[in-house]
Amino acid sequence: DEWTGYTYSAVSTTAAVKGMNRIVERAKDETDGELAIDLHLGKTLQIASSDITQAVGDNIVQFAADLFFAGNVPVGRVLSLPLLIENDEEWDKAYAAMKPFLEEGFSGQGVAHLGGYRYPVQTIFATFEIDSLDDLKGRKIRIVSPEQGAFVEEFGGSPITLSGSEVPTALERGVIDGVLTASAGGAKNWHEFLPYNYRFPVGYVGSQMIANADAYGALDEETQKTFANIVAEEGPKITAEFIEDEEVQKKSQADGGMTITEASAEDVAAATEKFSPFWEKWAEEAGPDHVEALKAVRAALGK
Amino acid sequence: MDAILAFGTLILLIVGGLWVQFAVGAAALLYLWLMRGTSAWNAIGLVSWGSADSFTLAAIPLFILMAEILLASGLSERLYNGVAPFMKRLPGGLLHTNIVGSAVFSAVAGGSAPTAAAMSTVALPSLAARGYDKRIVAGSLAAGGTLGILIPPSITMIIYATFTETSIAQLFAAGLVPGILLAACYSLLIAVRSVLDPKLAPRDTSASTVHDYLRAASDVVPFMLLMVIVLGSIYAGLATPTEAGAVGVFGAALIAAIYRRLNLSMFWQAVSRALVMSGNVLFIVFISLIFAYATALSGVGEKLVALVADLGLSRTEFLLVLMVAFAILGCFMEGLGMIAIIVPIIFPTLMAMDVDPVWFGVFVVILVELGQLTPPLGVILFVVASSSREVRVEDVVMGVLPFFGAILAFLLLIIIFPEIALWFPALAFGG
Amino acid sequence: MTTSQDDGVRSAGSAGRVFDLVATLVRVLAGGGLVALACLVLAEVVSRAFGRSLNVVEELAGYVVVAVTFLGAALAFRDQVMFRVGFVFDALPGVARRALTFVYLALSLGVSGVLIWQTIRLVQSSYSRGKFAPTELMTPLYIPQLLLPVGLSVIALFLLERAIIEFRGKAGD
Ligand code: NA
Ligand code: NA
Repeated sequence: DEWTGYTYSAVSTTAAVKGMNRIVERAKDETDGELAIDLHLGKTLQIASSDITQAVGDNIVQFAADLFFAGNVPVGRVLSLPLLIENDEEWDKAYAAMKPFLEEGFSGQGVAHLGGYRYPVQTIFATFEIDSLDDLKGRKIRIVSPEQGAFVEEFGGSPITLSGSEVPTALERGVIDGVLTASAGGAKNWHEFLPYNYRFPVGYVGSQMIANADAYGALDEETQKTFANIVAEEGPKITAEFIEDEEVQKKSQADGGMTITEASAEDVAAATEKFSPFWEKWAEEAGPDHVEALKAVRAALGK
Repeated sequence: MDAILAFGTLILLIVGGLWVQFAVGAAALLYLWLMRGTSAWNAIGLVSWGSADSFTLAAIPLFILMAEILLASGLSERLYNGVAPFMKRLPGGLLHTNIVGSAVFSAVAGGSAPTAAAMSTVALPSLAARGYDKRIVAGSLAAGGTLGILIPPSITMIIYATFTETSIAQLFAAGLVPGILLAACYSLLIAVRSVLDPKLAPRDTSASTVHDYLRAASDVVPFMLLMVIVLGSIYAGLATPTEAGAVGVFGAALIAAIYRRLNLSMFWQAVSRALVMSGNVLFIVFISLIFAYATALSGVGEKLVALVADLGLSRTEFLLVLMVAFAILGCFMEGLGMIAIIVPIIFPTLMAMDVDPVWFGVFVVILVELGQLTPPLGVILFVVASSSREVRVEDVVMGVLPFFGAILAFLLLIIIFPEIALWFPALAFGG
Repeated sequence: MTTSQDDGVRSAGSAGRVFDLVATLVRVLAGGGLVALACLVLAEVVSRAFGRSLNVVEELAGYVVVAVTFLGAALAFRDQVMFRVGFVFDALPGVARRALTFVYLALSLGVSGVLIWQTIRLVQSSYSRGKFAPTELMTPLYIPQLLLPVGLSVIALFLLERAIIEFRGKAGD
């Protein structure tokens, strides 16, 4: 079968795209050309990042990596709730607990959920000196979701919604004072405008690797199995490469003059305690499946 | 083969006089159908939404509305009256205002379409009324408009940076000097052509008194005030370059009110005209993105690049071939689509050849500028043409032809002297 | 003051009051949208200066841009200022020009038709998926997406009007 592949990422050198390329190549080799995927990078196909799951469900694209699936599978937002997941081990547990919910959510969209990878933990990058959450007071922080907005607001900052292409000039001119991202994520592009990094673990974002359910079902059983295996193997590899890249970026950003401050465990614990009521409130407003998913994740994390 | 048929149909329909938007739309539908039959059309819904639903595009109608308010209130007429005494002795006269005005506006706007739209709406009617050759007026406005993406801020550079992980600050710094130099090249070209052919621009040799100069200067004041408001909002960190369009709309209305030129009927006239022009321009951007989708899906860009990569060229040869490839593709594609298709594929090759990524960013941006001016699908050509009923697309094309020469020569210049782009960032960042 | 484009309120021919009415309605709606766009964006700038983002402007502005794109293009067509390259067309004899005009109108209607059909399918897909914008407003996306087929239909309506005008012109010869 000949598939069209798509990823939200436009950077061919990023771990995410390198991994997708490996998947495509391995699929071709290991199925003896039975499954040929023509992978297109972000922005080439004029399909918005937030429309990727829909594009897969509508069979416009057959295989994709989707980081912006919240409008289609809202329950997945649990994984990105601020302060819920603090470190890589916790992510693994939470992700395992969320997997059935993700699978069900995607399947409701006519999409098969084959695997995923995640970006390193998001921390606070700023144009101002910051070594505690108190420093957020009165500062304009760019957010990409209402949940992040609630976090910034809780600690006295002003959440600002801004289109991605405006972020660099906005940081340079002081339209905004900071962003929430990973060193190996957005900070890679914007670090020159961001002299300070407070490594307070705000949260995680994960990308899901998905296929059109019908197209996937139409593959013969062996091809299906081979492909599912490849994706299942490559997902964690991408994650591992991201973790490696995070250290590389962190170091190069430090060498470039960025002031990096680690967050103390007490600060994180205190902030989590302060913010945790938001999780339940948010889930209740979002619906019973969200409540259930949050419960499963909290049980897995023991918090 | 599909590509040749689709591109051929596009040229045929446009030259044959079909409305450009529908010509591009028909060629895109044909292209998709040739590749995968009607099922390829199934993507059109999502692609349409992805292309049209854009905050960044809001800069276009906002800056057009600002310019229409200036025009309807007579403030733009005042600007030209004001600048005239200072420019009239130069060969080319007020044409230089178009270039200087575009360059200044480029420092405000992140894109070429808003720059060309704002300047053309103001300048075309004024200059046509003063007996300037409409083709050279239109050509200078189109060429000047493309400075919008070379002189920072630039959305094109930001997009390039996201594809290549290049420093945005360094890119912006690198665009400044070439932007000013290219503007100077345009001015030089205008002066030379005006000397060779005095019919192009009327020459006023009458002497002006001090009183004339003072009165003229006071006519420039409202425009300066608006520049201060718009530029100030960006540099004070109040607005982003896109948002500055809205600041400009209110600034223009405010200044019109101060000069007692604001009333409801004038305002509605400006809105109505801005609406028609914005729709015209946005619709062509929209439909050319659908064509870009078809082109990306077909992989013709990758094939072209692979072909070039296999030739085993030297660095300079490679850059020259790239120049030709961009120029050809630029005839059919919108700039950002072109970057998305070509840059990620050739970037590794360039790095292997030791090409500076910041320098290459400037090179690409100038190539995109060229693409915005090349028919049949050059967005800026249509933007300029739509500012005046008397100026037709073919007039803009004819008028812009000499400027192509200037751009191509400038590209060769920065290949030979990469320092033109690189010395300023080196100075600013010590890199 | 010499302006070459007309005041914009004038239309280049009409095939009847129904079309005039639609055009006026579209002009008022989309013109209002354009003014609203400027107000919205300015409101965000002002509000942010006081340390508060409205957090909805980026999203809403995108929707207004969609409306302005299609409704504005429809008016551009009706006012006969939609871009075209005329030098070959204008050099043709009258009969050929007229025939070609009908071919072009049919082709344009065909293109609009495909776009309308496909954007309706998009609206259906978004509706049945319960797709929403993951923003403060949580807008069900089928609502703003309706702007696509509606706007394109207005364009098609004015194409049809032009065909009627051309046809009457021929009958009147
Ligand atoms: Na600019
Ligand atoms: Na072009």
